[in-house]
Amino acid sequence: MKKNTVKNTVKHTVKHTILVAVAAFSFSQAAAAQNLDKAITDFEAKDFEGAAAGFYAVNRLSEEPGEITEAQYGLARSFEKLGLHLAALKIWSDIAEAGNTHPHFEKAIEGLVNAGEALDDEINMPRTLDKVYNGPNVDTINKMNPEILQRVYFHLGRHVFNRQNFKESRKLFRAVKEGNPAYPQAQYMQGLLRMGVGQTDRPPPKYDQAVVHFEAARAAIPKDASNKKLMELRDLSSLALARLYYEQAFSSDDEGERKVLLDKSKLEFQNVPRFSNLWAEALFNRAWASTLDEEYGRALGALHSLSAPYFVDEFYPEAKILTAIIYWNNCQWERVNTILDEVRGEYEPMSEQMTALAESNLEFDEWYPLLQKSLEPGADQTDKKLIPRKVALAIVKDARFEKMEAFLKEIDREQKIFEKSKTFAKSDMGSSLVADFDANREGYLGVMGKVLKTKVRGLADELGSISTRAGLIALETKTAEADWLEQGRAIDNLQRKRLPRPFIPDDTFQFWWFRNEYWIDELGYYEFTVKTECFDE
Amino acid sequence: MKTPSTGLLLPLRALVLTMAASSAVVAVPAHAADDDAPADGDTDAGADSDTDATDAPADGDAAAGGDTAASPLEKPVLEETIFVVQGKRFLAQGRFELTPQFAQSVNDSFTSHTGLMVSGLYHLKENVAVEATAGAFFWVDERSGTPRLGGRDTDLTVELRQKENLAPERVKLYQFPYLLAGNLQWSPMYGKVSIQDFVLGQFNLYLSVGAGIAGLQLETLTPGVANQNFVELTSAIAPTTSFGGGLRFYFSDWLGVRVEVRDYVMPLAVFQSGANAIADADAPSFDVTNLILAQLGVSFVF
Repeated sequence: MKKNTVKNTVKHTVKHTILVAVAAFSFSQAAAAQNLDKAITDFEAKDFEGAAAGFYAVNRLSEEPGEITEAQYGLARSFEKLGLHLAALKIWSDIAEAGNTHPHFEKAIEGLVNAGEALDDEINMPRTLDKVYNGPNVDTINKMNPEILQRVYFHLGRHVFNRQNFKESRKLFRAVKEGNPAYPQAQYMQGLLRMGVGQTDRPPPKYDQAVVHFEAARAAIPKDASNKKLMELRDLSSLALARLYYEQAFSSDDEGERKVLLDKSKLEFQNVPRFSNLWAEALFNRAWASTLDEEYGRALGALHSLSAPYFVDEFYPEAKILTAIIYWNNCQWERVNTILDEVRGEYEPMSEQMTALAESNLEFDEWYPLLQKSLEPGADQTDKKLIPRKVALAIVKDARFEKMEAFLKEIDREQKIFEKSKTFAKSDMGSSLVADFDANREGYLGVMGKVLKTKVRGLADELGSISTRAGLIALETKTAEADWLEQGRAIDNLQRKRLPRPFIPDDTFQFWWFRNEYWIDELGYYEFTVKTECFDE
Repeated sequence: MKTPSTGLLLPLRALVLTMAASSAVVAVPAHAADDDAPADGDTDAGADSDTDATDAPADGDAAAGGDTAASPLEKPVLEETIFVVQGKRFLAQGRFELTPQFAQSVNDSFTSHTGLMVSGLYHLKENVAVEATAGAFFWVDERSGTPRLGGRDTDLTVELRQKENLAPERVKLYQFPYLLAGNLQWSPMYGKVSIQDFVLGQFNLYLSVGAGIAGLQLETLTPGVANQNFVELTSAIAPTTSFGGGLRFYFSDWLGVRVEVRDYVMPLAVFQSGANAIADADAPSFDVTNLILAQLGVSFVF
């Protein structure tokens, strides 16, 4: 009897549970459908925060595939409207990775490209595109709007370029046609390909074709363009052309041809506008071109500009080596020795400090805080556990690192929005996404740390190599000095005086002496009068 | 000649894939025609700096002047001949410049002149221009209270007349209702001024020489009363030469400011007899009059 009662009780309980579960399921289904309708209404009413919270709830609770796909799409669009590109990127990636069976697959590809471009994301978005661009998805993507499709090709091209698949990348870049927003970048990348940049087998550069691509990249950007990225690409193209001509001149044996190429190179360096981000690079590179052209005064002038307070956060340790080479070419031995002493005195300890840091047991996620600490105004410059300030400043100005830092700031910005929005706080989306952002941030700090460590190690090596070169020049200088002493010649010219002012082309030019005061309008125009002190033989 | 080796010259780093002051207001004029040869002072400075440069790095000390190594400005100074040759920010050659100016005489002994001038310039070269100037002087007539062309007696003249019943030589009382002149300008010097690195202006100093005519007025001889009627002159125009100089600031390629001082030199006379006799002349008098004007105007370049 007792057993039967228990059995009945169990039976009753099971039945009751099933009924409750069925009711709950029906209720949640109905609630999800209602939430979807409400989210759509909110979206249409431009309450994108409310819409996002609603879509998120449906996406999480609904078991109806149709509702889930709609909610995903609505969620991504809501984030897009809110300017939460990182959050949108994540949802667009989820949809895209679901494949072309997802009803919003094509929209997701477009959204993914838009969000990635807004974030200047060269890692996640191209990687997702690469993952998605295969199997049956390929046909679907290839039938998309040509404008979007060519942008997809460009990002895929750059992705495979970074993976050393140069043949495939060229094919993809070539598919980007004139008029497409990605065309200038695609042309620039093709120029790099023609120059053999990044290719370990170092194919011979195809200069003429590279020139065509770089010029096409530059010509495709309107003169009055105000888009910062496009303006920078235009300057990069000028810089690339200048370096290309320099490289050609360097390897040319024909003196006339070399002169023509160097003139072209210097002109292209001057096409990089003053005060633009790439100006310092152009000045430094122009100094090399002027040196090769034996215009030592101009070369020293360009390097002199880089020592102005305006360029305090630029780091060109090689500039001193070039200065020493110029004086060496003019037989001004004591100047060479002074500069080499400076190089060794400054860069050798710096190199050792950075090598020690790179070999330390710092975790990747500790590198970015270390960089920030090294940049603090009160940071102890003698502290060997910090990155030398000059190097730290140069790192934060590095284009790749700037992008990474901007991405990290975007993570923080969006995380704060999710934390502070009352609408998001009411839904479980807020806490869930904040946790996602935390995880993202942590992971990204690791990525940045890896890049930073590589950068510090690379710079340490570069400084080491500069010290080595300084040693070689010192050796050559000692030999030359010994040779002079043997011939009874004085090796230190302390009678050197200010030289006459230079030729002024016409009265459209102004002449100023430099008297230890940098004027901002004079930067880039400095010249030295250098008189060779080599003897006739 | 020893041929320098280029073996040390290494090529630039490979193309990279990654697309990835002073707060004081300072003015440093430069002399367009100065030191083609080294100045003595500069030479001395050069020799000193060279010595500093040789010593400084070996000590690991800051450069001459007690600077520290933190700033790029504070590196050891190797005496160098460093200069700037830069294209002018604003070119003037072949352009017109129109300058309305306020003018005030500044050497007022017995008469004073206040007026407006208009200067039209054509820049033949960057530092040479031809100029046509027209100006009129005016004051408020004391009796009628209405404006009239011409200068006015100075307080000294009025006081002499009214309190001492005296008058200066008659020729010194000429007034000038208008001026017309043609000039040649030459700018031998230029400079620039920077304010907090925010405003950067160019200026040039110019000298001007020319000739023209000046209208003449002469008060009737009425002791004790000033600014009365004017005598009728046989010739109410006097030839004049002009000399002057000034500063021209350009703030943009179309806007500038001019400050100048100009001396109009006129031989004037009051004859008692003859064809040009003044009706009420009490005695003949002669003078070479200098009308020195301070002028300030805004220039529009086009």
